[in-house]
Amino acid sequence: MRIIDGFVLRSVSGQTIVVGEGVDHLYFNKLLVLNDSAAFLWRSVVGREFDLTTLTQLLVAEYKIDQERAMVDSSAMVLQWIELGVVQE
Amino acid sequence: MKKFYKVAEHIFSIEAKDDFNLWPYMEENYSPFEVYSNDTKCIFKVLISEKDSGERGQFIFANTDERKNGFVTFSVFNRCDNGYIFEMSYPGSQKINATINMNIENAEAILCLSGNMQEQWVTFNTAITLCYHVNVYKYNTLLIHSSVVAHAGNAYMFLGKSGTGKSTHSLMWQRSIGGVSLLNDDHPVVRVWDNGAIIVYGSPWSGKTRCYKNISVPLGGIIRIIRAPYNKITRLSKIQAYASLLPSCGGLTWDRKISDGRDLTIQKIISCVPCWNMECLPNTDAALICYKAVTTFENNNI
Repeated sequence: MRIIDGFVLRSVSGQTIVVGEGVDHLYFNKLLVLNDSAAFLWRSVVGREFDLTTLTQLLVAEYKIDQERAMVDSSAMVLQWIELGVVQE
Repeated sequence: MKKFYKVAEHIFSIEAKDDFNLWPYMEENYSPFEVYSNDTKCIFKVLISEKDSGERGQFIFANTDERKNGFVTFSVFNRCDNGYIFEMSYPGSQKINATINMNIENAEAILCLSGNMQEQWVTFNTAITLCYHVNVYKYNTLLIHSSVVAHAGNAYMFLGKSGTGKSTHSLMWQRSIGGVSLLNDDHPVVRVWDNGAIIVYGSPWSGKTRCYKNISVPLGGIIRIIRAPYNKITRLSKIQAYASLLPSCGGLTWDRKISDGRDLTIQKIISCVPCWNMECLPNTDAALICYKAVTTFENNNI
């Protein structure tokens, strides 16, 4: 899967947000607020193909958490991203 | 003939033949902004031409879905070099009434108009606002779709989709509160100065209301108008304020330079200017509740 082109990360008052600025997202009409780990994952995989294993490994390496928890967290997050239309499978 | 106009301290020029059929139409809304100037001071120049170059690069986007909503529709193409070409149609029209060939690097645009006077006049104004928009992003300036009133030395800006009741809310302020005047009813300009001042300026673009005031007032508050069967005002967080302001600033969001400029200016505005959501009815009570909240805020200086 990959992050769909045209979504841009911006920082507002210390928080990371995703804004749909591409031509295909003129009616996206939403603004997503990312927590620190979601923003870290976004920055790590933007512009390239990734899967659940990629995200899990990134979380394990960055936050020193166990594999199982990282898998559950990244799976929940990526499902939400797909549902919101910012990631395509 | 070439005329120079100054909007929010930005000068631009419009050049056309002496007998250009829209010069007389421009008298009412552009004249208050006319200045004596020269090319070196212009941030962009528009040349009215009778000929469309015919150049069209790669197709980018069309908003033809908006035709049914009574808006000017357009298709955008890339130029072969740095710039865009817009084809615009009067609301409901199937024909192209204006073509703008924008050279972004040189800040020059060639505008070619066709159709009846009404079609030309409406698409002309849309074209000039678009040129303004595309050229001011680097100067901490935004053209914001809103209705603005001034009261006691501060400007209050009402945001909302077309038809939500921005103008009505402005009218309610004027009816129920003393010393309130309309500054602009459709597209005022906000400029953030280096000294931190955030100023709202009138413009030649005021929608259906003839309010073309060449005045400036510090921005005191931004209020998004949301239709509701009750009146309630809610203060917005910084993120909410950003989300509220963003869709009202329009623009070529896919152009990263322009959207970066827009982002920077919005950030500066929301860091200093308080923002609210006003869920309201179209009545004077709504104006009084809103007025009380936004002016009390200033007095308390929270």
